[in-house]
Amino acid sequence: MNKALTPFEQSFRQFKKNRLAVAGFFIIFLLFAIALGTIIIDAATNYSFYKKYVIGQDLTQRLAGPGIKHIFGCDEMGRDLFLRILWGTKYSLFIGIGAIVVSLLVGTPFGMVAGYYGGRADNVIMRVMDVILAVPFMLLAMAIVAALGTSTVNLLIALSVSGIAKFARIARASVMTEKDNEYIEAAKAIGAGDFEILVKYILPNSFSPNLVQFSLGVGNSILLVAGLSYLGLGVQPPNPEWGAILTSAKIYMRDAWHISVFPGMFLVVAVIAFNLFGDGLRDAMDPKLKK
Amino acid sequence: MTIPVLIGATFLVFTIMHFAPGDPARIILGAGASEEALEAMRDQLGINDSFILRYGRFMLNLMKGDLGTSYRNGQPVTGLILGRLGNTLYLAISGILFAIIVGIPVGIISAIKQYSTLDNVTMFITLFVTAMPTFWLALILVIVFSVNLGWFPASGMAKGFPGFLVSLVLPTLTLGCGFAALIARTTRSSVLDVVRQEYIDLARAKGLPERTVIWKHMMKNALIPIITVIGLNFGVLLGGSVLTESIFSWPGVGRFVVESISFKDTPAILGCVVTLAILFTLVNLIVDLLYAFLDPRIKSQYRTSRGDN
Amino acid sequence: MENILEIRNLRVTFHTDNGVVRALNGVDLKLRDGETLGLVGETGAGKTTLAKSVMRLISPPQGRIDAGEILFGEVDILKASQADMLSIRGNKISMIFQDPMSALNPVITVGEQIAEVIREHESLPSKEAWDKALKMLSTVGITADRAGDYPHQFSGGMKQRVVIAIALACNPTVLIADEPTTALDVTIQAQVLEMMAELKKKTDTATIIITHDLGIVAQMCESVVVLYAGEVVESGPVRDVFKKTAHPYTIGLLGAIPKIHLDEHRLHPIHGLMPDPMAPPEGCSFHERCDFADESCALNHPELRIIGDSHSVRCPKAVSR
Repeated sequence: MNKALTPFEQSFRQFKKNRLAVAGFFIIFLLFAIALGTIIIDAATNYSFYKKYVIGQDLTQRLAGPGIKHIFGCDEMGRDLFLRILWGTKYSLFIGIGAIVVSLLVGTPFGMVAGYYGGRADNVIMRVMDVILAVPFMLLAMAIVAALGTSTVNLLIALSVSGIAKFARIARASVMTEKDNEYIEAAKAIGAGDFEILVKYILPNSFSPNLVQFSLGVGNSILLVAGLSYLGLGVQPPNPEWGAILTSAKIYMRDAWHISVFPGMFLVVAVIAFNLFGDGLRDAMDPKLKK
Repeated sequence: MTIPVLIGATFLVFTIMHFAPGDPARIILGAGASEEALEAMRDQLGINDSFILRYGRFMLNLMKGDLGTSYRNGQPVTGLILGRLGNTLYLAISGILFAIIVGIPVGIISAIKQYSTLDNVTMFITLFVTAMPTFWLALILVIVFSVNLGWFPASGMAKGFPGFLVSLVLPTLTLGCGFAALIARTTRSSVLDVVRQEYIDLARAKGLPERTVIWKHMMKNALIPIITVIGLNFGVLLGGSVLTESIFSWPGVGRFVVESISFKDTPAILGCVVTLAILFTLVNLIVDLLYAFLDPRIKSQYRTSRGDN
Repeated sequence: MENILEIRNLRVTFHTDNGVVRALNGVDLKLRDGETLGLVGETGAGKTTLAKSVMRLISPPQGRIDAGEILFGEVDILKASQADMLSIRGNKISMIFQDPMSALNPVITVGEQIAEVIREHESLPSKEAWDKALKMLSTVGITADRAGDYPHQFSGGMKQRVVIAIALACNPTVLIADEPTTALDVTIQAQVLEMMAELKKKTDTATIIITHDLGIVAQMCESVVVLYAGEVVESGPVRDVFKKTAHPYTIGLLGAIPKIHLDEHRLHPIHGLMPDPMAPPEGCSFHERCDFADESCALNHPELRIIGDSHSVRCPKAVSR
């Protein structure tokens, strides 16, 4: 290489070389475009389009198969499946991402405090995280939703609790590797306080492992949103969340395979996109893998 | 270490369920019950007591193996769960076995033929499979193998041989596919890591046939990270069994917990979560022991820490 | 004496994402029966590649043997069947690896790591193979009761003894020792070398010692081959190469050794670095670092030529100077 690149530029170059990761990035971009598009249409038409076509019923088209008029066919209420899937994008995307954001924002400070101070603080915090991780993720989320009731906010809380433990562990690990470095000593020597050291010096260094975990976590969290909705514990009908659409698909699978197939395809593609993107980020940022 | 974590887990779930809305007395007695009857029932259930007292009582009973009484049908929860635990274990074990039997060889072949078409195709398939929601995979499997081909039942657990095994096939595939893909990916990267090690070159330099090099020299080392991944993801598998059992009406703990949630049957929910958390923790314990068995470096650590080295 | 191993015009390349690395560019080498030959060169000269080529352990798709012959008796190793190769490796030709820390399998006992090579090549029952492994261990100075231990329970020097025991377990006709002492402490180096010299006296195995330490060559070898940028630049009997040094690179190497009897204040390194193996220079590969080079050296690639009794050099100026 001719000129010195910043670590960011190096990672970016590395990332661009990975075609699958770039493809993942474009799919994520497309999903965002769809989600924002549906939100804008709803705002512009004051939900009249939504009410008429997305949740409005047309029983003459009940379970209609895919065709020219309805490319993915219709569901048991005669609603166009394609439109419902498009309108469902925002749930998977925003709840999926939102849950991980909450986990990250809550988990990271805990992990950093545990890693930085060590001793009793570390013990208490990490044992609590162990406890959270001891309950299978899905079950914990189900129990929380069952206790708090089904709403979008509760769904977010349920999904982020387990993530908190994961992010706390990652943050703790990166703080522990950073805190013994000489530049931390130097910062202390010029009189930086603990808070300043954590935020200004250590936080930026734990950024990349968190970012990778973030992207990989979103895929998982999209699957969980859909799973909970499928069980009736997530987004409630008639809202067109992908998992919620699949709940009714089971009843009609003998007559209308298309209700099962298409929402699932969208789920798979969305999750693959986030996984590829996350894998790409990890490969680009992991100095061990660089040649 | 295991016990405090388990106690913490019960406390966590107990607290969550404590704040669940709804009046158990009303659930038990139905909407038409009189206020006096409801109050009497609340007293009988101990709901009017303080949180600490109730948790203490729950733990005390738990030690005795008593998980309380189901709100739904008044039967002891312990019995209800024990009656279903076996079915969950059958499904979980067959899911894991399927995942291991498929995942490890696929990962090895992929690693040995790195960058070949076969490797690319299998890695794409595993990518796809890990991204599939359990319940969607179940739907597709049922549509193909049950509705269209009629090979396997779409739901339920049949009794006797071979009915039981036939009814086990689709739930096993549902539960095991994602896990198999994960194991395949882990195996591949783990083997690729080991292949680069110099002791593999030395094994070849000894003139050992490729079979011995792979199975004796590579796999024992490569298995260590694979076991880690299996252990770490057993919890995910148990979570998946909740969905799988619900979809296939498999009479296990997972379906029971979903039913209990819809009935707001708190003792049953608590019981299920505690049972599954114990199961999960036990598996992690087994994984730790397996480590020591596979990796002599860890074995001697144990010995040193026990002080008889 | 007979040539037991003869390498002719060996060319090996590695194909990486960043380009083609020319590791060996037409190497010739002869090893006679019972001889100890030193293969000298700095890191990246292609020494280990040469050793692994002889074992046919260059792994595709990255590593490719593009041309050449490696004759082991009547057999061309590069053309031998897989089955023939399996019976040669570890049995007739064996190799001591550079880094004992990573050459031993961490999850298999050292006894088994020795015994398995014996079982593979000598159709012995397991019990006898194990006994022979124990005997090998004591040959290299490790008590037999440690056979059940794992590599991590041994020190670096002990591990290298185990690696040597593995290599010698089947009495090979050719032994290739790839920097057998580089990874060890200086005091341990001496012990291991002494042990190897003694074993060599007993078994008379033809040996190639790969090293960058000319002291080892002087101490242990009868002839020497100097490798530079994937080429032989000088070869011959140790006495000739050391006393009538012909190639500027060899002169530089010998000059770089501090002499204990002279009151030296500075070391004399060879200035510059080895050329980039992906883009070797025109002409002589050493001319950029050579004190004697002129314009013709940058244009013409010199051939290896004989200047004395089996002493050859790849430098046109070697005699005239």
